[in-house]
Parts: sequence; structure tokens; C-alpha cells
Amino acid sequence: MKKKSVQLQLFIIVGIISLVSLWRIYEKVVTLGFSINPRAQTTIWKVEARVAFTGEEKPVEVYLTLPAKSPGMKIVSEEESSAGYGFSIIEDNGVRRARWAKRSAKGIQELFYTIVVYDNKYIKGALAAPPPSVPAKPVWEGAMKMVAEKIIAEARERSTNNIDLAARIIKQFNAPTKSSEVKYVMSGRNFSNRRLSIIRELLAYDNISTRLSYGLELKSGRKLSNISTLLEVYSNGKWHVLDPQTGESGIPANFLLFKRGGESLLDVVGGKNSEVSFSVIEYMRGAHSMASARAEAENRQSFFDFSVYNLPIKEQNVFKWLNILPLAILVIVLLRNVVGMTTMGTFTPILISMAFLETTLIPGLIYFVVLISLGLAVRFYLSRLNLLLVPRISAVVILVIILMELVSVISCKLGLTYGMRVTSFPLIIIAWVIERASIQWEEDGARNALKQIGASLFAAVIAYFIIGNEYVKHIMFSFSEINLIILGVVMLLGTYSGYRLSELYRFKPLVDNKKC
Amino acid sequence: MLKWLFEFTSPAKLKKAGVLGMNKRNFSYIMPSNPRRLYPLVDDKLATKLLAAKAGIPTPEMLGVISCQHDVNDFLNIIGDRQEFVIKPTHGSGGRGILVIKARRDEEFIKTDGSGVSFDFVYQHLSNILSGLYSLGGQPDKILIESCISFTDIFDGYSYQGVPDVRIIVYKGYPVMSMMRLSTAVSGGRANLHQGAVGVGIGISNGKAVNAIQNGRIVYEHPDTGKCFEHIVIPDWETHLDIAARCYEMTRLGYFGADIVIDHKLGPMVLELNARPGLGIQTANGAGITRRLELVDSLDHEELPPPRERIAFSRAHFA
Repeated sequence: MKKKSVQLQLFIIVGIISLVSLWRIYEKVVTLGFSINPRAQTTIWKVEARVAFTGEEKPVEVYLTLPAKSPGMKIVSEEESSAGYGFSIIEDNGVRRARWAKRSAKGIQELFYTIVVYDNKYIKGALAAPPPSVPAKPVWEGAMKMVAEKIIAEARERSTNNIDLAARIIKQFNAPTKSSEVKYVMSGRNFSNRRLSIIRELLAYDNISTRLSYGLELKSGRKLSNISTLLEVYSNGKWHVLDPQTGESGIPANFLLFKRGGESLLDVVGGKNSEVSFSVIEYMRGAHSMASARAEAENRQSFFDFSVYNLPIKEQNVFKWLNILPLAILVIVLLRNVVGMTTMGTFTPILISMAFLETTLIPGLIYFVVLISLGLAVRFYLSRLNLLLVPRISAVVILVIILMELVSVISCKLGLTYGMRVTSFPLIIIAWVIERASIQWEEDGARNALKQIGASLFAAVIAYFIIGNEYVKHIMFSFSEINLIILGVVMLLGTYSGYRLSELYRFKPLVDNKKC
Repeated sequence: MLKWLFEFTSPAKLKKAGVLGMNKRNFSYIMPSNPRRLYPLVDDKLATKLLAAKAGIPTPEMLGVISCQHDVNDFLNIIGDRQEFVIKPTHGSGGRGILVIKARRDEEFIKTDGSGVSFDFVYQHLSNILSGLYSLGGQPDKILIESCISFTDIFDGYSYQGVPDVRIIVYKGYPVMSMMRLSTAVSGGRANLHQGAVGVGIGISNGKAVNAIQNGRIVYEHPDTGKCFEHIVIPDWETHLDIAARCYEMTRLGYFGADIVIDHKLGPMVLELNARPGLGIQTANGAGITRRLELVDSLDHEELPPPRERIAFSRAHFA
């Protein structure tokens, strides 16, 4: 029979699209690290270094030490921008330096280097290196010598190695209540850079080599970032990093190390007044937005090139919205064809629920009820005037606009900030709800009209809880293939010819007592 | 607390009783047997009327049609000096926009409820119909002016204000189930079950009442007049069935409901046809419709038998 083959076709189509989407979902979870948890976020840092100097109409060469590639930090992208400069990255002994060059430069020059990194974990960051030359021992005498030796001796007593020793000294210098010895050596030089230099002098006095490394603390909410200094201590053939504030060893999390010892951070040949400044911008990205980078790592880039995640963020946000709608539509289909609810306008509840998202639920419900009841009241009067359809519905639309204004103004006066958002209700839809409700009220009685408004609101609230749910939204966007499955389910529901829930109630008397 | 659960029955019980649900009605009966292109024949009362005239099926006498604003001026010519007439929108549904005039006194038109309206009111009403005030979706409409049916008085007391009609469901040309629809005060004089009218199941075999419902629950007497439904017998039952069955040849709709009224001089005539008749008729009959539909489906004939044979079959098989 023809009908059977059509249904078979439908089952095959639904089966295929379901399998395809399940396979894609599996792929996304396993290969691309998509997470079901919307809060599984990757923090991305965009660090921009701006080099500025004044050119002197001479050949210019600019060197900027770049962050080293380390296991604790992954680089998404590196970019430079400069007008008319030749650019190259020189790698030497694990140290990377950017080189800009130009024949002649005049006036203020600006060079930019941007690096985007993520996954900045805390790492030990010990760097193997040949022993440095023995540090020059400061020459101290008298009280200074005594005090210094006492500080070192006390620290050495409680520590097991040189790193620990350095950490103890740092802690002493940063303690809220400092010992009299520390106060003595610090006298007259209580600035942090002074403090660091006296610590280095103390360590040098004990024949421990130190050096400074420079980097950026990656912190949000800062447009311009100052370069931070870390202390490195040489011990057992390696340079160890120490935080000069806390004495903690290792490279802190979210710290982008630009330069470790050795060469200077910035060298400018052929220019003067050179300076480098940094700005740091933090992005919180859902784990899936990093999937592209991960896909690249897995050689699966093509998978990504044709996906919605490659669109500009603004468009992605639109699709975040659109991708969640099929689920709400599925709910409407279920409510209507399986539960047997009649709502005002097929998709009106979804539009109302989208307005609820703006107003939040309870104020939204109140505003809806207020708008509809005021609208109905005036509409009843309009119906007595016997207006024709188009002018009448137009009058209702204008009326709703005025009512929205009124409600906004009143709730603003009452100090209810939600009131302003009453405008998020879809104007035309509200007008049609009023129009339909009033016609139904007149024809089928108040009970039927209120029942349908109630059913529409109920459906809207259910839709609200679905589309307003952060997890649902995340999952539907991350795994938009689910929409293919929903499409299949909706199509299958199109052939559902079983009873509706409401019919179990409606036809009960028929089953119970036969004939009178 | 779970008492409300007992307000529901089980799908198995409904299936056993052969109850047809909305989804199945649409999916298995309306969609396959009512092709979309045939809908205009029944959605447009004028088209139905012209078709019925060709097929020799009685309908209320047509006085005239007004299809544009300019023709509204012809209204008085159309009605001439008639005392009774009905104004109908051709695309109206559920009785919307129907104006019944029972008499004329001086400059006034008297409605069924005895109140008088001015010519201006009628003129405004005609304009409203033309602009689509009563049509589905609000598209511009036409006006049908018919002579008033002089309703038989045998059903006096069974109906409040409105006119009782008989709806017969016809499947593939076979009458399968029928009911009488009686308006009540709650339904505002209209005969739609969902508005609170009473539905009285009428046996296909004999035209006698089997059961009655209002608002989906069983009733035994008219809520307004107190008259018991038990003794209702439809006169001219064979003619009713004949008219309904012949509407199949006329429209070729596989599944429809024919609404029939009795004029005391002219006998039964078709008021309108409905391509999506409701399911309440099953409750009114206290019986599911599915088995009857399946029986019709199981019939194996090369050529459709004439209406008389189909009616005989229906009367023999459907209670």
C-alpha cells in the first residue's frame, strides 16, 4: 500500500538523520572536548604588547623578547602589526625574540604584537642551564654585615636547600610584622624593587646566583598591565622561579612569562624614548569555542570549517537562540498533539516565553495578565462600535502600545525596574491574543476563552523553563545536531494517531456508562 | 489527592470501545479521503448551494448574492416584500454572522428573539460581512440571502431559541453516525456542542434517540425546557440518510458531516456540509465510530453502489 511505503520512507529518513547526529555528537565530545556543562569554560587571554619609540631617520631594528612556549600554556595565535616593518621571529637557545626592521623611521613609531593564550596552568617551570658565574659578593661591614649574616643563618637553619632558603628570606621581607634585622637592612629603601634588590644581595652574599624574569600577570579588568618581576634562583643545575611577594616557587597560573634572564625585554636600535606597554583582555569562552584550536591540534580542522562556531560571535549568539527553539517547538507539538491542549495561536506561547526571559517569570506573568485584561476590557468596548476587522485589530495594536507605555511608566514610578521590559512582549502577538480571546469570549463564553489563555500561559511557562535553562541552551548550541533528532521526532509525531491525553478525559463517559 | 486521575480512562478502554481520537481522525480519515482541493466546495456556502442545486439536493431557497459593496444597494430589491429571510456570510463558520429576520414592521426588521433592528443596522451588517468580519482569516467575503426555513414544530420544546438540526457523518458515501443538535440557553441559541448545545445520538437504523450529552457529559432532559430526549424520533429518516449519502456524489469528500434541517412544507434540506466534523458525536451516541469506519473500509466493490443500497447497508449494520 502507498501509505505504508510513505511511512517506511519517513522512518528511514528519521533513522538516518538520528544516526548522523548521534555520530556528530560523539565526535564532538570525544575529539573536540565539548562539554555538557555550560560552565566548563576555558579562559582565554589576549595580550597585546605595544612598542613605542621615536625614530631618528636612521635604520631601525627592534627586538622584543617573546613568551616562551611552555607546557603549561597553549598559544592560540600570534600576530604582529606594524606599518612598513619587516618582521621575523628569531629562536635561539629556547628564547624567542621578535625582530622588526625598517630602513628609516621618523617620528613616533608604534609596533604591536598580540598573543592569544589559554590553559595557563601553574607549572614548576624549572629551566635547566649551565651554572652561571659566581655572583659578586656585596661588601658589607660592621652592623650591616652582622645583621645580614644573622638573617641568612636564621633562614638557612630552617631550610633544606637554596630555593627554600630564598623563599624563607622573601617571606621574612614580606611579613606584616618584620623582625628588627629586616627593618634594619630595609631602612631607607622600603620600595618593592629595593626590597627585591636587597634580597638578591643577601642571596649573593651566600653565593647563590639569582636573576630576574619578567612577565605579565593575566588579570581581568585591567586595560594596561604593568610588567611583573619574578625572582629566579639557581640550584642544582636549574633556574627555579620564585614569586618575590610570597616566596612560592614555580610559575604562577595565569602568568605569561616574557623573558627569563638573558637578553633584555626590549632592544631598540636607531630610536629613542623606547618603551613597551602591555594590555591584557580576558575572554571567558565555553569549552566548545576552544574546539577549533583543539581540532587543529587533532588535524580535524575541516570538521570545523563548516560549522556555526566559525561565524562571528554576534551571529553565533543569534544561533544560540535559534538552536534552542526546536526544543520549545517540540514541546508545543507534544502539548497540542499528544496532550491535546488548545493554545491561542500555534507558536504564540513560544513568543510569550521569550518575552518572559527578558522580564523574568513572575513579573512577566503579571505584566501579561495586566496587558491582556486591560486590552480585553477596551476591546469589549471596541466590539460594541462594530469596527471592521483591519481597523479594529489596528486599534488593538495601538492600544497595546499605549498600555505598554502606561505599565512601564507606572511601574517605573513604583520603583519596579522590571516594568520597563514590558516592551519585550511581542506587540502584534499580544494584540492578536486579545483579539482572538475577545472573539472567543463572545462566541464560546468566558470559560472557554479563559481556558485557552490559561493553556497558552501554561505552555509559555513550560517553554520558558526550557529555553531559559542555561544547561539546555548550552547543550543545544554545542550539540546543534540534536535539532536533527528533534526534527525526526516532530516528523514522527506527525504520524502519531493515538489518543490525546485530553481524550482520555473527554471520552470517559462514553466508556463508562453506555446508553441511557 | 490523586482523585483527579480517576477522571481519566485508559487508552486501552477507548480502543476497545472503538473511539476515534482527533489525531487518528485527521491522519487516517480526513487527510487521506478529503483532498485539499475539495475544501472550497464545503467552506463556501454559495458553492455548496450551487452544487446541491445541480445534484438535485434540496437546500433553502436562495434569494440573492451580494458580492461587492456597490451591490449592497440591491439588498431591498433582493428581499422584495418578503417578511422572513436569512443573511449569511458565505465563508462564515460556527454560525457567525448569520442574521435571521422573522418579520418586518414599519421600517424595522424583527429578529428571532423579537427585537427590532433598523435598516442602517442591517446595512452595516452587510458591509461587515463583505469586509470579512465573520470569515476565517478575515478575507473578504460574499453575502448569501436565503429564504427562511419554516421549521417543523415537531421538535418544539427540545430546543432553546435555535433550530435543531441533524448531523450525519458520511464516510465514503455511507452514513455512519448521526446526532441531533439542540441549542440551549448556555449555547446562546447556537447548535455547536463545544458552546454548550445538547447532542442527541440518533440511531442510523431507525432515526431514534439513543443517548444525549451536554458539555461532554450525559444528560437526560433539556436543561432549559426539561423535556426528555428519550422519545425523539426523526421523521423522514430515510430522506435524511438519502440526502446525506447523495452529498458524497456531489462533493466526493470521503469524510464529512451533513447538517440537515426539516422544513415543514419542503421536508429535509441541507444547511451546510462540514469537512472536519467534530468527534463529540461519539459521546452523543455512546459509541465509538472507528468500527463503523473500518467496516466501510473493508467493503470491496468495484463500483460504488447507488445511495439507496448504501443506506440499506448502513441501516442494517449501524445501530
